[in-house]
Amino acid sequence: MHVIIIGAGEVGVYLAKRLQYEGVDVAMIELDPIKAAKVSNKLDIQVVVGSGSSPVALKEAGIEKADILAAVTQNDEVNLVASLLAKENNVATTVVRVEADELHKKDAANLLQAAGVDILIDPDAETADEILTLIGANGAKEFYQMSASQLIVLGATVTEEAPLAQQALTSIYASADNAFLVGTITRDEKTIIPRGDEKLLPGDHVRVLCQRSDQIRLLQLLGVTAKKARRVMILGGGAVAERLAGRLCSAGIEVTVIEKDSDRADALARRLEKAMVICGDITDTELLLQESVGEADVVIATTGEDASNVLACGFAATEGTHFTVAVIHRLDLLAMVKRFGVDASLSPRKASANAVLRQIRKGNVHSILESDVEIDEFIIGPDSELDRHSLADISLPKNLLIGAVTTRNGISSIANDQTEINAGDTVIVFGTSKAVSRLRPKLGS
Amino acid sequence: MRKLTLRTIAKSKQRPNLILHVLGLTLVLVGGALLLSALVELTVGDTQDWVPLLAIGATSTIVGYFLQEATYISERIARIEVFAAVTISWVVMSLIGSLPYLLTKTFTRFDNALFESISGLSTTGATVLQANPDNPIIFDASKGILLWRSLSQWIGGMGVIVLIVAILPALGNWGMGLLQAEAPGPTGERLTPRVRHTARKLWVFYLGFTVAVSFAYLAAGMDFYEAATHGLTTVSTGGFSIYTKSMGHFDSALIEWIAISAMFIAGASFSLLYKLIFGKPGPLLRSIEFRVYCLVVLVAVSLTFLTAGAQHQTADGLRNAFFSVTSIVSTTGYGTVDFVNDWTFQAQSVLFFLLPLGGMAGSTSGGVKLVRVLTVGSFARREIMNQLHPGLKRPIRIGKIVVDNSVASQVLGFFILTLAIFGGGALLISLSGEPLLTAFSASATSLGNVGPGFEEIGPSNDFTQINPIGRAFSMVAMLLGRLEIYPIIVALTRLPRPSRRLWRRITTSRIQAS
Repeated sequence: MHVIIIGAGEVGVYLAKRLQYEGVDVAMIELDPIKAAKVSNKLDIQVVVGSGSSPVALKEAGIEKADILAAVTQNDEVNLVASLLAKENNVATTVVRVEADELHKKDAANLLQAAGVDILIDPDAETADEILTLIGANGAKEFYQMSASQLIVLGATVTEEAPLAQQALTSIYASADNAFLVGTITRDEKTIIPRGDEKLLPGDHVRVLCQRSDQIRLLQLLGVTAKKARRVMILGGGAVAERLAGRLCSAGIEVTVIEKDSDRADALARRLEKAMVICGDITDTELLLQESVGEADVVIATTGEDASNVLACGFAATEGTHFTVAVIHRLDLLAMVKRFGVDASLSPRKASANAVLRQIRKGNVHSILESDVEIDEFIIGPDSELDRHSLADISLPKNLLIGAVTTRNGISSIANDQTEINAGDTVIVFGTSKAVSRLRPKLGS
Repeated sequence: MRKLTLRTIAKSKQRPNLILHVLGLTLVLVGGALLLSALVELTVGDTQDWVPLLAIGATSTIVGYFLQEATYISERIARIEVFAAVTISWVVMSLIGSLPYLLTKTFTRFDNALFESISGLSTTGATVLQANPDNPIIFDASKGILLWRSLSQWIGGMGVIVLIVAILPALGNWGMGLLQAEAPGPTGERLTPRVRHTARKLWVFYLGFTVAVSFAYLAAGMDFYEAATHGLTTVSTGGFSIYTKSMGHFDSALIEWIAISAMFIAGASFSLLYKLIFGKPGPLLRSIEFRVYCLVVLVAVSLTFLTAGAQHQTADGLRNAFFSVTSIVSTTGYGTVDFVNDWTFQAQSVLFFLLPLGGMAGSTSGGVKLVRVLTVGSFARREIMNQLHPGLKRPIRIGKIVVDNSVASQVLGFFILTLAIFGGGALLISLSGEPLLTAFSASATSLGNVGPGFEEIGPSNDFTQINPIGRAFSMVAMLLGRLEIYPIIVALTRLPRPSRRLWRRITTSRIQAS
């Protein structure tokens, strides 16, 4: 498989890195020679210096043999032209990042079709949607929807009061009728795929696969208390914030937006009828106190500056905000921000990279970025060596777990030793990227 | 060789002058209305009043015709000229309007004639006309004069200048400025890209609405003359009647309901109504101002009905409540019931608070208009919230629509000026020796172009109850109210020391270059 990525921004680079694990040929086009050099030093991919809208650069990147083109620069026009050129060269799938709001509306569909866009991604919108899901997730810090609608993965931290604390996983599963499965445990900033004898300790961050209907019971067992969001404070007034505020307001939630730039704040205030828009600096603690940040049920920091976001969330947490969410742009920071009182953090790059990966793998990918651990969904092929085996009989690679099996009829069950796998089933896998790539050959096609 | 006529002389010396041009056209239109009154008096009337009407009408038309022939409108005009044109036209119009009353000896005193003229043109409808001593149900004036009285309200309702903009050929950019200076309401909402077409549509609607209401009156039992005069003063929300007992004279529930509906409609935005008629009801129904307008009427009707007194809680009482409320809110000022003497003080106070309110922007009603009240309300809310959140950004809104800050501050200024003039006037009138409520209601009813007031100037009385000082103030207030304060104040601020340029434009010549 040959994939061309246009733009060596954070989305592009992250995507390229992930695709390497998949054994995919990646060619990258980047206009800025310095950035291009950096990428080619770091990754084993072809890097072409040039514009994504240039047929010459595309040809150099091997457009005629490409299967997928992912145009993920921050420039909508370049992305659309690249998509157009890709279709002229019979590229099967184009993934195009578009940020302009009006291009996501219905009446732009013809234009996008004319430009040959197969999949449209919008990092800001995806980030906003992810945050919205989190707010509605009853106190979970992460929330992933699996392709089978009843299956979800919740990320949460085990508290001191958790009934499950100090218990081994096998005994937990036994007492809960295998209603859920702990996919990963993060302890001391290290994430592992747990074995059955692992004990849950207070302070562990776990990601648990469960049925949607068990969500509240599970969170109770982990000692997570939920509070319904009535007041939300959004720090920073960018595109993510605007979308969030609009949705939250229409859900009847009281929203305060703080934006530094006076003109931008004015524009927001005009567009957001019900939200309260305040002009000010989010790192100004005096201002945050004045707006009684502690009384907000949720604080979401969405500015472009990671440090400010973390700082503001940390301050809000000490003031008593129940749940804080920070948008973090630098992926390497995601792991450490929890230390500063940030309950949940997510990256716009991660969201859009996942969207591309989902397409390339034709499966559901929810990568967890703080380490190389990921959640995947695979369909078992008819020639798979796993076909018609129960899990107890299969030897899986190290650091890998099969979490749930969904049959072709759409019946999902959380996996245990007796669960049987058949061709056509969809399995949910927790594992390190390396382990997953080792599993892939066994899945058949 | 060209024939030397007055017209060619006028043409040959054509000079650019917006003020005189607009004034000329105004005179032609007023003259036309006077000639029509003369014609009616000549055919159906029984006095010799048609002679002065004809004389004034003809003079006005001819002078106006030559004025506008001698001038043209250049592309280059100062803003002050627009305000001056509107103000001067209205003042001259008021003066000419008073002449028929004087020359037919309807009034012997000039101030009374001028009061009646201004009250008419400004669509206020307060009168100083006395009942006929032989037949106290009608006023002491001829049919021609009474028609002129109604016509003056009709002309003033939509505005002469709006009509001028409508009929003049392509006019450059100043048309909207003129339109905003005279058309009632703070928004110069365009129905079409061209101002002229917008103005034309407004007048066509106005004309059609007048005809429709007149026919409804006719069908409900009025005679032709009654239907026409009342149609003219209903649609313009003027409120002059040819009978001393106003609409109460007819003693007909049907006529009153027609009047109620017509007054209610006349208090709504004409451009939104225009869209409604042409199949687009959305803008009107979605308009927050319209919803508030309906709400105000319904609440006021319920309140007055419930508090007017036990003997009024009948079907007739409900109709009277509807009538009085729509009459005051739309600033028409017709009466059926003498609320000052018949209603309790509570019910009266409801009406009193409606006096300065007015209907919707873009209607013929007077007052501050609901859109301004909503704007000021949103402003006040912002200021309250600002106390808690100093960095708050909150645009002023009417419903979902954001009001520009410049517009909002204009509205606030208007509000402050209105309050100052209202308060100052009330003080002046009470200092001149009138009772407090009389003074306050006289000030409010004049500035709001409503008509009747309270206490001594209730529906059954007239403005002769007020001393000359009060009447003088009322005249000024009526004009201020009709032109929505700014044009007159702006023109006045330049009056003591008119700029040389302006003065030259009004008086001296600048002969066309080509």
